[in-house]
This record gives sequence, C-alpha cells and structure tokens, in this order.
Amino acid sequence: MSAGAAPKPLLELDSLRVHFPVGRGALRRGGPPVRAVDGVTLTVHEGETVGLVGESGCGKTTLSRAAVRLIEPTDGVVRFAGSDITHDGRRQLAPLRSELQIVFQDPYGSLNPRKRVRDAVGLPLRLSGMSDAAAGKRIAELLEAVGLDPAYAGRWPHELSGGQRQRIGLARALALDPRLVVLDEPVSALDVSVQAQIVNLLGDLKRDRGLAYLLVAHDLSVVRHVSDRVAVMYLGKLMEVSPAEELYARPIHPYTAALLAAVPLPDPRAARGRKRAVASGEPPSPTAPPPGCVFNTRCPRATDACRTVEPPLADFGLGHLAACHHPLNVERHDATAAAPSAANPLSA
Amino acid sequence: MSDPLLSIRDLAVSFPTEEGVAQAVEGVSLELGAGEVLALVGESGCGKSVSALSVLGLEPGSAQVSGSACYGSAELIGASAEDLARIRGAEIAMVFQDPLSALNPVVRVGDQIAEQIAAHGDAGRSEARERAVELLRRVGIPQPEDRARAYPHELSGGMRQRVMIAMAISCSPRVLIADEPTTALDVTVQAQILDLIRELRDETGAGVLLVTHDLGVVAELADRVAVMYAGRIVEQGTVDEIFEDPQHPYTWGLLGAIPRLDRPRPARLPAVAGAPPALASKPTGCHFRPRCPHAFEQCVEVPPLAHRGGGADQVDRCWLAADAKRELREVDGQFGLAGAAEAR
Repeated sequence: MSAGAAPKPLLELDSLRVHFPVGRGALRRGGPPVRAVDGVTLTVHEGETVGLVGESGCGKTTLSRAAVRLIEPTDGVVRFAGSDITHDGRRQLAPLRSELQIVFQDPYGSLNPRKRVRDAVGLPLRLSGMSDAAAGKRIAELLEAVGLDPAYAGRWPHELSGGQRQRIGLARALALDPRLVVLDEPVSALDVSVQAQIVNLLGDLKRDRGLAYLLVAHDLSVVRHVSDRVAVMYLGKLMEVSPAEELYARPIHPYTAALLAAVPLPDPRAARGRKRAVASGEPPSPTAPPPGCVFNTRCPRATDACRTVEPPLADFGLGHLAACHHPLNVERHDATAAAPSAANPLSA
Repeated sequence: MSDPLLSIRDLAVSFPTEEGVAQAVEGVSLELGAGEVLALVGESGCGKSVSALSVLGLEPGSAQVSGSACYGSAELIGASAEDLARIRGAEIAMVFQDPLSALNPVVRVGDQIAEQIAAHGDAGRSEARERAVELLRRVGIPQPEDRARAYPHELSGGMRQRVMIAMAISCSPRVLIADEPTTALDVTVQAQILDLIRELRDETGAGVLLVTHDLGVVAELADRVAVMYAGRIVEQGTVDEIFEDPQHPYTWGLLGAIPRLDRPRPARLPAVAGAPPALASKPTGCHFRPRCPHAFEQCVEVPPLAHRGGGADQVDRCWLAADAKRELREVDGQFGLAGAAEAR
C-alpha cells in the first residue's frame, strides 16, 4: 500500500459465510454442513496485496472462490469497487469479469491442452469484441509483460514448462487490465528456482500496473515476501490480520505463532538451536468446529473462557487485529484497550 | 565413516523416450552410514527419487539401470525379485510422499502393518496385530487400538503418514528411504513428522536416505547433503558445509531463491534464470552451464566431482577457482546467483 491518500477499498468481504451440505446418501441429508468459511470480514484495497494463509481445509481457497463469485456465499456480503455483487447472476457479473481475475494453482490443469497459447490468452480479448489484428498485438504485449518471447503465441501448452504455463495463466488474467487478481497458490506447484522468478514477476506486474492481489497460499515465507497485509485463517475463521512485517515480527494469536514456529528454517545451526512450540494434534473437522475459539483444542494457552466464548477479532493498534482471549506479544494495557474493531464485528 | 550400511557406486538410470534416451541419473555415488540422515536434494526431474527407487528395484519398468548398490555384501542392482523382496521392508524400508496411494485402501491399517510383520518374521497373527497397535502408539497415533481398525481414507493425511512410518519401521529396518515424506503435509503436521523421524533415527540407529526438494527440511533433519541437478550430484558435504560454505553455483542459486522468514525481505529474490534442461537433450559439459551467469570456456567439459574448496569432505562439480567462488556467491550479503539473466 502506498502512503498518502487513504487507499480505497476494492474488494470487501463482510461476515462472509460459505457452508456446504454434506450428505450421507444421495439426498444429502442428515449431516451438519461443512463450515468452510464461517464469518470472514476482510478488505483488499486498491493496489494492495493481501496474503491469506492457513493450512489445508481452513477455507482459504473457498473464500477466494467466493470473493470472485465462482461460489455463491451462504451468507454475508461481497462488494467490489463499492457495489454489492453477492447475489449477482452471470449476466450482471459479466462486465465485472474484466476487473476481477483469478489465477489457479495448477498450471497443468488450468490451460486447455488443445488450445495454442495465442488462443488461451486471446479468448478474453475476443469475448470483449476486439478485432483479430488488435488482439494479436495485445497478445504479444501481454507475453512480453510476463517475460515470454511473443513467439510463444504459436506454442501448445505441452511444449511449456510449469513456470512458463504459470506465466501464460498470468498473461490471460491480465488480458483485460483487471484491478484485482486472486492468486490461488500461484507458485506452490513450481520448483524453487522457478518459484522465485514468478514471485519477482508478481511484484513487477503489481508495480507496473497498480494491481491488487488476494494471494492465497500455505507457504508463509512466500506470503511474507509478496504481501502488504496478511490474514491468517483457521477452520473457516480469521485468527489474525496484520501488516505483513508486523505479523511476522510480533504474532499475537497463538495459532500464528505455532505456524511460524513450524516453518523449517534453511539454516542448520539455527534449526539445531531452535526450541519449537509446535502445535500438537490436527485441526478438528469443519463440520463440527469446537465451541468458543476454534483453535482451543490445539492451543497451549487455552482456558475455560476459550472453550466457551468466541473471542472477537479485536484491534491491537496499527491495524493489527487478532481474535484471542490470551494474546501474545501484547502489553497488558494494549490488551485491555483493544476494542472490538468496528470494521470487523464479532464473527459469531 | 565406519563401514557404510548402503553404498551406491556409479548408479546410472536411463529411459527410452520419443525424443531419445533420457539420462535420468548419471554416475551417482553415495554412502549412507548407520544413524545418519543423508539428504538427496534437488528440483523435480533431477533424478533424486529415481536414484532412491532404483536401489530397491522399484524404478519404472522401462528404465535401464547400471552401476552398483550394496547393502552390506548384497548387491541390489540386478538382484532377483526374491532376493529384493527379502530385503525390502525388512532391511531397507520406504516411506513415500503420498500415503493414500501407498496404502491399500480396502485393508484396515492395523492389518496392513500386521501383514508386513508376519511376512518378514515368525510372529503369529495375534502377536503381529498386537505389535501393529504398539507401533501405531509409537508413531504418536492417539487411541491406537481403535485406529488400527480404520481404513486409510478414514484418517487424516498426517495420520496416514504416521501409519506408513509405523509400517516402515515394523521390521526394524537398518535403512529407511524417505521420499518427500512431508511434502503433502501442512506445516504444523510436517514439524511433528520431522520430529518423529529424528526420534526414530536416534532410537534405532537406522540410516535415513531423505529425498526432498525442501531446503528447510534438509536443514532440520540432514547430517549430510548431496545436491542433484539434471541427473548428477553437483555438490556434496555436511549440512553445515552446504548451507554455510556452498561451492556450486546451483547450490547458491537454490539458497538464494527461497524467501526466508529469518532475514529482512529483499526487493527481489535472486532467482535462477531459465529452467532445468529436458533429460533427453542436456547440454554437454556442465549441465548447469546455460543457466549459470559465471560459466566460462572450460564448462563445456564435464567437471569431475572432486574436493576443490570448502570443508574437508566437501566435493563439487564446478571449474571455478575456490577464491573466485567466495566472491561470486555473495549477492546482497547472502548466497545467490548474481547477474542471472532473469527472464522478464
């Protein structure tokens, strides 16, 4: 986020819920629903990168799909550039699709093997009514923007490496000059040497085009490198939201601290000396989240209050929000002064 | 090292493909001692998994394998199916990346472990079952009596990986080959599994051959490291040597390319340009040459794996002089590949 005038909210999620029915039998009756996303309030501002981290099953991918309205939310509001798009149908969403794009994790599954690069990247242009000549020029520009020779336009997906495919996915997402791109694990299928190229490319594109990203990823190091702010999700709820550097230097929620402690450091000496407070056990089922704080079953600081009362996402200053009765790295007066954030009401 | 448990010499594996013969592994030599963790690290297609699988005769059917892999006095390469079956599981056991495809989906997990115990020993059915429950307890599975009756799909990914580890250690193997054992797991569960592997190594004195792409996992678990690129070992040394005094530009590139939680974040990551070569059309000489900003005339010849600098036991395949390396590998105060002609 750049300094100066207050950045405008671009994507606003308000108390968003996405519940999936689970069935025993064909009629899908009986079981409680999977609470994939259970009351999430989160904003991505213009030109901002918000990282959304959490372990598998925490609901981060579902949240990203609901944010671009590939999934209908069960409850809550999705706003884009000020307009409520929560219940918009296909036709109403069509003009928005150019502004709001998504890049998927699997660079192998997300490109049609029977379409050349020029057709994959050019499809959004054709749909927007651009002439063939103009589209050809635009495709060449887009390929150059993502670091590929324009000659790649004639290639087939099977001729490309994973990193090159992910560049094509980005070129396609950028075709209609979006304002926000949702990136769902954009580098996790790539080898580290290639991953670094794509991470750098994401930074360049953001700077050159003023893009905002909602970056969904499980790799905390990649998220820190790319993000302005980071949201930590667990069992369908946000545990902590903070400016990136602040979150990594001073995690408030014990879940964030446990996640950070579990990341293996590529430094053998530090690894030997490190005493790790690793979270024990595994996340409970999202069909039956525990009462109170959803992390209480694995939390070393949990008390009776945590098992009964759900902590609200409270503001601890400097835009650092956390939902915890026993926050870490917080002076006593901070903790008492922390009020439930107006922008982030109690999510229960 | 005293007598190694497992000694691999000049291992080569190739596959016929439409584009020609793909040399997946070229002349890999490794020794694994008791109680040690040796990491084979590299990116996809570098030959690390195929090397480990070939030791147990588990390479794909079309593969041509040559060279030698000795377990004690037994030669494993070219050994008969019966001989390999006796060693596999009992002496050398494997843990795979994906427990869901490695476990039998229609057999209860306790029975799968008991079956393995019965196959390699003289335990009866009920004794084997009891031992299976004990093993599940040992690898940290809560309520092991109940969980022994579960089918693999009823368990979480972390629990399934624990089951596979229980199965692997069921016959007290002296060598454990772990192929990306934590890659499919979440970070908090990964930390638990790494702790478990470390404990079991300490307890049993088994040697562990750890195949991984993750340098964080290597730093956490390994004693020695072999870095592979395009089928060859490009550098080998102790874990401290590899991370603190790396000699090969590819190792610098790998170390530089990972964003780190323990350092200030740089504006750009020093990325390695390009991508690894296709195995059927590798460049002559040093395979890393086309991606290396420091390549020079001599790199068209294959550098032998030799001690050129760094620690006493450290070997590498790079023609650059040791003092040139010390200067070239520093990028913004960290290891990395400077001036890499990064695609942009």
